[in-house]
Amino acid sequence: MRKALLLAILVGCGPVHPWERGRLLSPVMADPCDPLAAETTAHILATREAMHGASAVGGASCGCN
Amino acid sequence: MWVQLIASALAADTVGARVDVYQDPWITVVAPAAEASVELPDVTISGGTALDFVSGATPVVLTDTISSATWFRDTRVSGDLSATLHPETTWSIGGHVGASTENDFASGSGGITASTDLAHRRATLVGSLTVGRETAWRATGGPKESSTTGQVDVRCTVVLDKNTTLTAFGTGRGEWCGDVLGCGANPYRSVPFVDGDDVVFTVHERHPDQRWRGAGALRLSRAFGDWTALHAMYRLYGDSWGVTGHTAEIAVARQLFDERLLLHGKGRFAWQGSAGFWRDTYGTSATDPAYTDWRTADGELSGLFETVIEGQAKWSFYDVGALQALAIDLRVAGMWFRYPNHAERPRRAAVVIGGGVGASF
Repeated sequence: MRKALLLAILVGCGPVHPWERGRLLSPVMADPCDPLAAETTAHILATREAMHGASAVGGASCGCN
Repeated sequence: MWVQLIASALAADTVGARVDVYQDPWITVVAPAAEASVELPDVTISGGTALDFVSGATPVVLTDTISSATWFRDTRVSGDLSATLHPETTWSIGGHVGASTENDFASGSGGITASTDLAHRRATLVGSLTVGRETAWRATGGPKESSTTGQVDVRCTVVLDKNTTLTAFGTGRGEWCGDVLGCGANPYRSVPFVDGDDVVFTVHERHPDQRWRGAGALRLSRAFGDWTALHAMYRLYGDSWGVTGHTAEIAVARQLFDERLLLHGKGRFAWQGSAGFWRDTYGTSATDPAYTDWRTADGELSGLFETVIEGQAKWSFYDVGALQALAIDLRVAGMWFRYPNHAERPRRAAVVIGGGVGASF
């Protein structure tokens, strides 16, 4: 039972078929909606705060001097 | 063969460019950036570059004391390149490199990223490992410090239903630095030791030479109908210097006019505790442990309350000549930072205004 519950949490409550995923691919579901702008914002914030990581924004080097 | 590769690439190439201007009472940054992505058979190649043209006033000797500020200009140039191999639709593996340089700082990094679908594509797991090397120095001569970094990022997105996704993020990062200034210390910045209101002497910042960071986040995204979505995120941060932080974000996106106009609004609210060795002022006693141990004048290591409100509007034109889509955007962001236990500069407010253009072929 516990395993079944854990599996349900991990994989969702039920199957979502490919043809049901149109909304998930919509631009409104993208966060950040503009990765290039989001990287600029992340770079600014990296120079204003000490926190780092677990962000939706990728990037190889922030150059946060 | 190359003609075929290029022809297939043209089916899904994207390019984008934008310019953002950051302005606060002390600093102006003009930041142009560009990126491009090319889809080849089984391989995606992406690259980008960004520049920061910085001008403003910064202190040379003392901590953020505007009265002693010196006018400066600086330019940062950065770039990154990645290649992702996806021979199957269910998994991919890739590599990335990046570099950044300015007149008193240089960094380089590289790593690998892997992604796989799980549970009949109900979940996607992405992991990456990045190592880097950074060096900061004082352009006018003086202390210089290098550091080596290693970072592991994990992200898992689960499709909960046809309208909802849940994403978990995790980051672990280690920084190993020299013993001149330690990790992240500014080679220009010295710490004043005071007796009452008088500065008795100053010494360079000295941070610990190791830092371990960890962060975890959850983001829930839900569509409401075909043209509206809501995103909510919470992040918990902690590191070996005693800094803890909480970040909450909420964003709403809405499409209008037959999916031509995309409106996006976001609010970001963060609270950060100060590093264990951070103090607003350091005493003059030679036995003061701050003198022989760690010391900083970095306001960003103090407590912080942060609010960011951002709005963006993007208009897309479809089937424009050879382009599948052409989009232009404008965004405005307001940023408010409050450092409640940093007496010299307890507040900073900034505005970011920018615009960009993107195209897909």
